[in-house]
Amino acid sequence: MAGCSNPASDDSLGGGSDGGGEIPSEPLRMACIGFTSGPAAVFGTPMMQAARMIVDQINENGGILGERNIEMDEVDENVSDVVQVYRRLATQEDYDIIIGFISSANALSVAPVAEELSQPTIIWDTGTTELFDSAVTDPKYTFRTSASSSTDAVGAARLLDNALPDVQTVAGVNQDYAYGRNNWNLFERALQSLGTDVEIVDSRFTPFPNEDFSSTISALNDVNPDFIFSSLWGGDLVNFMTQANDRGLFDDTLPCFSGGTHVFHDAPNEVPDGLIFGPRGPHFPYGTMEWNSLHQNFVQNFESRYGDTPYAHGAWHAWTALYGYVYSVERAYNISGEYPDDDAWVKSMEGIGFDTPSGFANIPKGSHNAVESAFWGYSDTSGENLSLRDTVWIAKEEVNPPVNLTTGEWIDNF
Amino acid sequence: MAQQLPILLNSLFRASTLFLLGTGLSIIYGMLNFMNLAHAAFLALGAYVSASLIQGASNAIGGTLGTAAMFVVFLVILFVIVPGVISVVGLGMEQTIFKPLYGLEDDYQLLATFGVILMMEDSMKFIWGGLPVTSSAPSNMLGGFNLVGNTYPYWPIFAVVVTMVIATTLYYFFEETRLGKITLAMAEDEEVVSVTGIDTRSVHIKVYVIGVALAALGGALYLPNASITTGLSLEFVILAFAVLVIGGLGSLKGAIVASLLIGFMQSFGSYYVPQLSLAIVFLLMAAVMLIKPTGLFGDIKA
Amino acid sequence: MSQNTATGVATALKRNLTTAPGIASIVLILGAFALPYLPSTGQFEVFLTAQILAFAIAAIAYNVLLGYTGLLSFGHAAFFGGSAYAVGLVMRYTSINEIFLLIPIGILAAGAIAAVIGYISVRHTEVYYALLMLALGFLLYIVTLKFYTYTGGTDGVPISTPTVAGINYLELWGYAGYLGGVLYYIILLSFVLSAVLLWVFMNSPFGLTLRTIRDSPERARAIGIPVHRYRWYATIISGVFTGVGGAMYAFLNGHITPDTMLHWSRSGELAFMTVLGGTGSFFGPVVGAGAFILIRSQAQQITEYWHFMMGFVLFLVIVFEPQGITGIAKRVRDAVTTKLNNRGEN
Repeated sequence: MAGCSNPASDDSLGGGSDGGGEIPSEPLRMACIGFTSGPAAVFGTPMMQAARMIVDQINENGGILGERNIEMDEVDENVSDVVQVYRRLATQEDYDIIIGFISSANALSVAPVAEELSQPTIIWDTGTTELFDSAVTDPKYTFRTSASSSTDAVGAARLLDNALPDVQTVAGVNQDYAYGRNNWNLFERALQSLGTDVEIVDSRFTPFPNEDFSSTISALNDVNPDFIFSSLWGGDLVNFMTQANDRGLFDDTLPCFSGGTHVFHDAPNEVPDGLIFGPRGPHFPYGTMEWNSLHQNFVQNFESRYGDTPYAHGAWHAWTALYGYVYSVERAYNISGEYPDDDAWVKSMEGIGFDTPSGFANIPKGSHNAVESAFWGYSDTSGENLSLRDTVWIAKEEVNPPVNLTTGEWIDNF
Repeated sequence: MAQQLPILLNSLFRASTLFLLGTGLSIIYGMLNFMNLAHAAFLALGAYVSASLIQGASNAIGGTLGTAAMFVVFLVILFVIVPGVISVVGLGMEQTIFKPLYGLEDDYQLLATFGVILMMEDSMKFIWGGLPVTSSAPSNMLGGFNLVGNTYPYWPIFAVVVTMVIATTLYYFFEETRLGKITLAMAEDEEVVSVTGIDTRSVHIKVYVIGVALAALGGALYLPNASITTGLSLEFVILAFAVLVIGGLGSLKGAIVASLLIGFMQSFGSYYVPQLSLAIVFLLMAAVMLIKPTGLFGDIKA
Repeated sequence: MSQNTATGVATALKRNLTTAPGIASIVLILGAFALPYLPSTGQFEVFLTAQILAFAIAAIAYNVLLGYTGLLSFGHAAFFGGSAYAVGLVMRYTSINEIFLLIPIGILAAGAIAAVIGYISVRHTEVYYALLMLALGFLLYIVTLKFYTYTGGTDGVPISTPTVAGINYLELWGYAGYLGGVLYYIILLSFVLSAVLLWVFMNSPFGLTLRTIRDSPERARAIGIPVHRYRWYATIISGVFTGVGGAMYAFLNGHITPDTMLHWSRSGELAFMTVLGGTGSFFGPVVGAGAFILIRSQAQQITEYWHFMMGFVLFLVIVFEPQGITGIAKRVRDAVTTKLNNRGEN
């Protein structure tokens, strides 16, 4: 079971010389790209913080294979010419590995360039199912270490199907751009394919960004659905929650926010008790997720270093991406005895699996996309920290398409 | 019909924010002939400062005062301190970076202040960070009431009433007071006014400060209902121009009507035809410019 | 107005090519042709130069309005992006994959959009023209978002590598060979051709008429120039060549999205480039496009507050040197000339 080997075990981190091959003496050059400004900074800022912290930790332990330091540079994704920036990083500055991208438009723009330049690239957060379904159908140098939106949308549909039998009417509020459309579309198709006995009474798409949700909320109040699926995030989600709280929308409607736990950090006073939140996978700092020492170390280190809690899933995605890279290099070295070149690295990434603070992550053989389980819980305001209670996991196979199918094909044939 | 009541109130609240924002831009351009693209940044700045002060006040004296007294403190912050602070900031900017722009053509003022709004946005990001900031305490204190089966908050209604009082005061100011009449005369011909011995520079600064304070107040009234993030100024810039173009340059009446029109179109639009909500303002703006190029109530030729 | 077009252009050509900047331009263009084969040139330099050239085409075209006609437009993203989207959508929905067919398609689309939007907007001037262009141009952005099933919405449209005169160079030479050996030269030639054509236009009676309108619309009207119609023509010409730049950018970038192509901030960037380079000189916008892209690329590497730096540059240019970089260059040249002359007299 080489595919499930866990290079996190201490002996592989400590003793780097068992293969005997030469480990490059110059530091590994890594570029990390994420939004540290603009609306998506709600994910990007904690992501960059986590990445910086992880690189420092790895370097304190001697670096990759205990010998090679990582030299990491941060790049703001909030630029108007992402292809130019990417090309500069790949060809002029010659980074060994480029890790990044939150925006799906950006990931879709750079992935073909990565293939064309044979540049090892890890997409660490983008959700779009188009990445490997249509933009790059036969990826070699591009990997995604997070699951696609399929986890969120299909996960929410299964949650509804399995766990909420009382729900009869369903509505949607999603942002009027690709991510929101993609999420709602997958959710609706999944419900249909599952044959869940609910009626969809309204589906609203709001401009992105949007500061005034009052009439959208009035419309939802009028149809009074039992359940709302929403992939809103950032300032939009805060605005929606603030205005919905004021207008009593959640009094008799249960909303489910698929990527919303970052508001626990950004706007804690606006989070009511008892709404369903999902952190785009099992990425949550407290409660049932406090399951092993990796998790505890990560949260404690983050909190003591930044004085903040990693509520946003971005921080966790950074962990998976960075360690995924380091482990894949170490794994290749430990197996072959040679420090991997790009092609050997690709081989090592394919089929890798390892423990992370948010559970076991793996990239199934034959795919370049990590799979994650879905994770949901009710917001819990009773404790010292905002948390999630009555949490549920949904297994990876239930929310991610198998390797040989696109997301759409898979959903339509449940 | 009763179903429409919440949407009607939503429209009025939206119109209030737009009025406070757009009027400032309109009088500063119409009367001082200064095209300030950065005007909307004063709204964002007002909202950010409000958030910090409300947070600060809650932490400092939150436990010691009763709800009513605390609400009064908040009102003083939102209606007095915030407009005051932003006016001082705005005045400082006027003296340093806006003054050199006065002689330029409108086009160049537009471009230079486009540069200024980029700088202001990044400065706010530097101070308050890139994450959304909220402060709904004043609105939460007021609570809500039952309206056609659902809760409706008091805050938007309160904000609408405040804005109506301000609009009336402004109207009185421009129509009845000496300063107001001088300003209107200056809009027509500044040189003639200065010949009569009136200090046009001092009038200029007064009008400018009124405009900035109104935008700041708009931000203060907006904040308890929503959040503020970087990039908000650029959203509001377009809306402020829509008020100006639709209402007509320098016309108070125009600003009121345009704000109401946009507020109603946006609120009812996003209720009945959400597909169009993004396009509505632009369609309205283009339509008005085609039918009446000077805006609904403007007679100043552009 | 009575001067013969051919002689006028010839005279202007002779006058301009013999000056120092004229000679410098020729040297620069020759250098640009040799660039991919210079020993120190990497793939990124070729890409960056091609990108600057694509924007330079659009910026010269933009200046037809701002510098020569006196109209500020916030709607040029509709031409730049309209052309790119025409290319992208034709590639997606038809089997056309030939660059020499796709370029005219992009240009035609940009011209058509400019004809419609321009026709409506030219009745206004100054801020009102800018805003009407913004509003109408933005509708194209919204339409592209709304018809996401056809346009890909915010995710945009991929632009795959086209064939050139029927030959698939990507398969033959790989991407680096295609970029440095084919695409770069197509963009460079488009730039040279666009610059020459626009230069001829602007130095013809047509250009003179536009300048008359810019300096005094009333006087132009008095001597019988149909002002609106000429502004409309200028908008179309500007739109068409902005479309050339947009199509080039699309091929180079390989992916287009509404936010990078059709959003009004792209129009603002073109205005920025033009002003930065200098509206008073024909080649000023070329310098501006280069300076803008290089400054921004540097600023983005230095700080996350690069918007602040760009805003600051724009502000400084307008307050202290409204004639942009070419204005500064001219002042330096004048100062040097004066000094030299003085020395000669001593």
